[in-house]
Amino acid sequence: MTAAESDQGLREYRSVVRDFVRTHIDSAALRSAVMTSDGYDRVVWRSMSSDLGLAGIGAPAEAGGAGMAGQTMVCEELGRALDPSPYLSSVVLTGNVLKASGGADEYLQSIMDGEKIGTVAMVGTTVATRESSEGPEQGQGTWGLTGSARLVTHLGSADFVVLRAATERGPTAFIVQLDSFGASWTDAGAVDTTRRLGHLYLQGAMGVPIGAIGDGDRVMIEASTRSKIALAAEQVGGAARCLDMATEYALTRTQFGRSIGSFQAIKHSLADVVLAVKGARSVVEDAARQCDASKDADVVLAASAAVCASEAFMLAAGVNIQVHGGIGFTWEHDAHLFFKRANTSQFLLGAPPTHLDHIAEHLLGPV
Amino acid sequence: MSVTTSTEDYRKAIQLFLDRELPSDWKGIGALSEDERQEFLPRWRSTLLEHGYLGAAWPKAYGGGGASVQQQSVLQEEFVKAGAPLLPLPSDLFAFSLFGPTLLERGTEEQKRHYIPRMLSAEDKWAQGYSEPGAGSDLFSLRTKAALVGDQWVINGQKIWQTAGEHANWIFALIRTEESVAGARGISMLMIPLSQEGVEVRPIVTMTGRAEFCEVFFTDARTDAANIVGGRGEGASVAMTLLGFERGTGSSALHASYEIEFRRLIELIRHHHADKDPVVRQRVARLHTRLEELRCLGSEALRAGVAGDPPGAESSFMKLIDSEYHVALTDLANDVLGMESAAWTGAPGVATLGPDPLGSPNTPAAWTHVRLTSRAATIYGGSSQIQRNTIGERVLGLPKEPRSVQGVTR
Repeated sequence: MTAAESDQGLREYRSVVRDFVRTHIDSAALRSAVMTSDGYDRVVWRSMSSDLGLAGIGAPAEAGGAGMAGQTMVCEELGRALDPSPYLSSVVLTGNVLKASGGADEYLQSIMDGEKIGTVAMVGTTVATRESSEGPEQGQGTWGLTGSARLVTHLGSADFVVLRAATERGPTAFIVQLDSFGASWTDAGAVDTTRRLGHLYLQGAMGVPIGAIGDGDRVMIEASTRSKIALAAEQVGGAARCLDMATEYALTRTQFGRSIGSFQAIKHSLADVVLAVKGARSVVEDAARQCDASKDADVVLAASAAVCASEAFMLAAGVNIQVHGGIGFTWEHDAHLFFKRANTSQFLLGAPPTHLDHIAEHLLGPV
Repeated sequence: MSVTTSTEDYRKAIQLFLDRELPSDWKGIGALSEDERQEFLPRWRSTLLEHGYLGAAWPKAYGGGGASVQQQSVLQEEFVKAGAPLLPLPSDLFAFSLFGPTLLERGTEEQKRHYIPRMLSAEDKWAQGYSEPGAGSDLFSLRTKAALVGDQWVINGQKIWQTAGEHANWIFALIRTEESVAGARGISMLMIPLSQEGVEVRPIVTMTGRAEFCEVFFTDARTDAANIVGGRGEGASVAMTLLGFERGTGSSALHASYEIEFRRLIELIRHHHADKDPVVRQRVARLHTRLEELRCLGSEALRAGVAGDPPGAESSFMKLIDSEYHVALTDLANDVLGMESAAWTGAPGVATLGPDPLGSPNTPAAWTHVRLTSRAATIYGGSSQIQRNTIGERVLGLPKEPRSVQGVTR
């Protein structure tokens, strides 16, 4: 398929996804979904994963997917709607760790089918101890994990959690089934109600290593580089939606005898959002393209995408509130949902200053 | 240079040319002294002319190189990377990037056949006459007028902000030829010779201490009646011809020139032992992400240009992002210099406006000049405020602000 043809295919698929989202994850649907015990609509989730194949979109073209270009497209569309489903946690974060570890095929398959839901604990300290002595190879013997992780996305919906634990032979990635003995969690009380968070507690819970023992850092870094690009795409989607909302309001709201968008102060604020969104999207798409072209994701380019997208979303969400005036501050208006999503997203895979540190190291060497 | 040559072959041919024609110890035009530069530039220009690199974008029928959008992009980029000028004379920018293409698009056959070769030979050196003291952002309120007297236009008024005005002998200018018609529709584009009694060119010294710009006074100046591009009252539309023209061709070169400057900034940071400073590290990394935005948006514009997509408002984005990026970058260089930025120490840079090219000295004098001119770049070519208006209105569809109806001359 030529670049133009696959572009065209992706464009068509984007409108399919956008229509689906508009129908099933509109503002009213979103608000009722977040009120349920799951925090998302399982029926919609099943449609997304199986009917629309959104869970498998990130697979390379040879495997019937559309690579990172497809993944970022889907994430952007879901980001526009503040999709509350476990898509990011399961398909993106967990999927990327499983891929980077190599060999966790059955777990990966269950994620891609939408059958199982995974999530990744990004922040926490856990120690893994060998419980039995049946050989040191990957998957042999059992491990007991003790520790905790805070603020894990979709923990309450997940079947298993992936995390990095210290072992006597170095950091290693593990999978823990959440219904295991010794694994428990509490709801963290997320500010962003569209993406629930939980705290994880492990006391000798059984863990299955994924990837080689001691290879945990490489696995997590490689995975998070790819995940940063997908998350950045989601942030761009949210930012673009904020821009649309603010623009629509600026066109229709009148004061002093004319629409408020005709005043330069408002016009210029919105123009700045246009630039930030376009700039961020452009870097995200370049990072996705680079990812599909070479085997590895470029750490510095992914960091740039993360910074641009985080700042664009925070700017857009803030301007959206400001342009709406008083009503932008109410619970009923959706502006605060986007503002809260923007805030959590900017820290989820490392805060902008951390990404900037990576870039600075590339430019100026280590401190 | 065949138009059907693959882009990579074209790139290699340019690299071979540069390798062969530039001196073996070449470190970039920025490394030459002022005297060396004055000696090098005319020779270099002849070499470019001989090899079809001057006016590369123009149709071969008019003496140009017939280069495609993609080839133009590659040509500009390779020259920037080698630190070799593609537009050696100060007036070349106006001839090759502005007026020449305008004339090729809107001029008569006779005008093209007459003026294009003279641009190539530099017998005619062009300046642009648009702005006036009373007409900057509100350009089409301009008041310099011309009346047809016999077979000549007689022009009275004043133009301002001519870049390289002192080097030019011709000016393409927006003049109000339709006396009773206010606004854009009363304006025509005239070509006026500058070497005549009725024309006075005065340099404007700017805050840099140099005279990057001039003003031009017309007192019963004259030009042939035929020296009009497009019809009477079509001047505004002729001037706008270039908006979206072959867009994206300059973006790789622009990025390449900013990359060169960025590397020089990194050297400056190391030289001043600021490379471990956490604030400097964060700022320089932030600038890197902004430069990446410029790079990616530029590539998008080029792809759209190659695909022949209709022009959008990208030129507004690019100019705005580029000029504001440059303010931020030069501010960081300035802050790294600290108190050293308070004096014109060391050799000056090369660029009159815009970033210094390859080989330029890494001195306070060079950086201060560029920092000051960066404050002009957010004003000329459509100020940042006007660009934001354009984005708000054309991209978002927000309404224009209502105009005042109280008797201001329009």
